[in-house]
Amino acid sequence: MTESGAGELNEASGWTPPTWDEVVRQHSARVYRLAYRLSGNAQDAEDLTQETFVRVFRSLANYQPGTFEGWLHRITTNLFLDMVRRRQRVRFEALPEDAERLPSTGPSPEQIYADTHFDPQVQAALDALSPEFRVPVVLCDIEGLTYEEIAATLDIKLGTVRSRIHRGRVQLRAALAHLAPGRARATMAQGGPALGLAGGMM
Amino acid sequence: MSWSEMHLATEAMAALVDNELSGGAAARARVHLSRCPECAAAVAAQAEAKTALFGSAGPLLPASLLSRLTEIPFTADMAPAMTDGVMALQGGSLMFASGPVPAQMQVPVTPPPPSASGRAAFRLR
Repeated sequence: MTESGAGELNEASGWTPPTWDEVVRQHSARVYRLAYRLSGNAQDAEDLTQETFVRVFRSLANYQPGTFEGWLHRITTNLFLDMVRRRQRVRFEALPEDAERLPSTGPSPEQIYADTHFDPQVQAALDALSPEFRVPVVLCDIEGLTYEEIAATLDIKLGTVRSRIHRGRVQLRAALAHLAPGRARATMAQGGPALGLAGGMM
Repeated sequence: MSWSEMHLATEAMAALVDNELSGGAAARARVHLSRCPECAAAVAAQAEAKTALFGSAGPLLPASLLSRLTEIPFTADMAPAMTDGVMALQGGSLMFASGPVPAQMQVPVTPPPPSASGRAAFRLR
């Protein structure tokens, strides 16, 4: 590696191009996590992760300077949205009795926990959100992206990011309260959420 | 002034929880929250939903997937035009940009180290 032309080429910048192995090791866990939180199941998450890295491999030559993570987020998210659109078309054409069977094919709570190390109710609440709201909420609250980064990733306006995150969280909390009534009550009982929040933000 | 005009905009509620409001706007929002239990509860609900998601351990990457990913250079279909000058096998490892390449390709694949002053755009968890 050190004796390669690439090493000499980039000597001035002090940068050595990574091997594919390094790219995969450095970024795969994160891409998989994002894919899992978006799709809600291991099979789709694996497919999305695989396809993301295939795209990365194919289009590395066209990669424009910027953060590599931002690029990966964009590819993964767009592949997920494509998948959703494809399935919506299929479902639209499906017979009603097929549609009714769909929910029962999902993984069990035990399987979700084993797969994700995530409270199954949280994943279920996330799955209950429409993708339009799920994606920005996941990018914000799980991936830690700023609103600006989310706007760039999804190619939407900053105001749209704000309103979708707000509505997504309202729906997420309602779903959580529905799935686990004890959770919301327990939080409300902790001496007033408003006071706790104000203290935390000052 | 109607009641609705006196409450925080829902977009501001989310932005406040995410520290995405400017200093002045955030300060005004906090003053309002101290007087308006309704908005305070709504903002608390935003924070609660965020907390439910925040900091969760990620699902573990299946080992079989990891090996499939590392094999992509040997298994993926490549359009010939896209491979020109981009990659070559050297000493058994696959390299990017192994020949003279356009300037746009000479970008680090690894992210730059976070600057001490600027906030980290991508928090590590």
